[in-house]
Amino acid sequence: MVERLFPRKVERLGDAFAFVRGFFESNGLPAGQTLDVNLIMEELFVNMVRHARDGTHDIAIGLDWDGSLLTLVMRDFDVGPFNVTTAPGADLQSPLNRRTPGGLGLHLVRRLSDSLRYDYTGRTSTITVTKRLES
Amino acid sequence: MFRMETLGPGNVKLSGWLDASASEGAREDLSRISESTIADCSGLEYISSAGIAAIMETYKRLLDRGCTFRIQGVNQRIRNIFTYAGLAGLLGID
Repeated sequence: MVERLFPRKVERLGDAFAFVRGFFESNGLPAGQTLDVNLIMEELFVNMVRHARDGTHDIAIGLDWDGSLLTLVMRDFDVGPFNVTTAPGADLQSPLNRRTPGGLGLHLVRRLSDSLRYDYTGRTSTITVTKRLES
Repeated sequence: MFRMETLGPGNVKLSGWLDASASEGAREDLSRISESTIADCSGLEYISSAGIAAIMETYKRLLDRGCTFRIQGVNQRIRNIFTYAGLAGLLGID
């Protein structure tokens, strides 16, 4: 697992995208599939920033590749719980002007991931995502 | 970096990265559209829910004025994102 810390600022997302790109390059992974991984990472990162506005710690992003499965681990320290596996998803059924806003990011995370796990221990939120990459 | 270029009346080109850090600037750019418009998104490399929200805000604003907003030329992966979001049909993405 390669892990780095990133300031909890949405305007610093570019640093996290560069980390994902660098991981793909150093492991010879198909560049075309960074979009899905970046999207999962961004949605979870933005959720962490917005659901713990008083958070002061950097957010840890870790990546691992075992030859077929990519694992993304995101940790937010000294925050309250926010279980992304049970949070409401997007309302995609109602007519557009009646849809409840929000939830689209987590809907996309669930749609693009092969597994999504949440753990809250010692005021640390840990989200673990796995994604099988196409060869 | 996200860019919006006006190609002519009712035609814009959206390109680059439309992520959460770019969505505020994108909203400002898109707010300049005031007529039925086709957006060429062949240069759009990335979009997240924040970018989709900016596009849907434009779609709804134009719809309220009796205008349309359609998207063309997205790559397969971005097409998938719009499909998963349940918006491909609304935006004319086939």
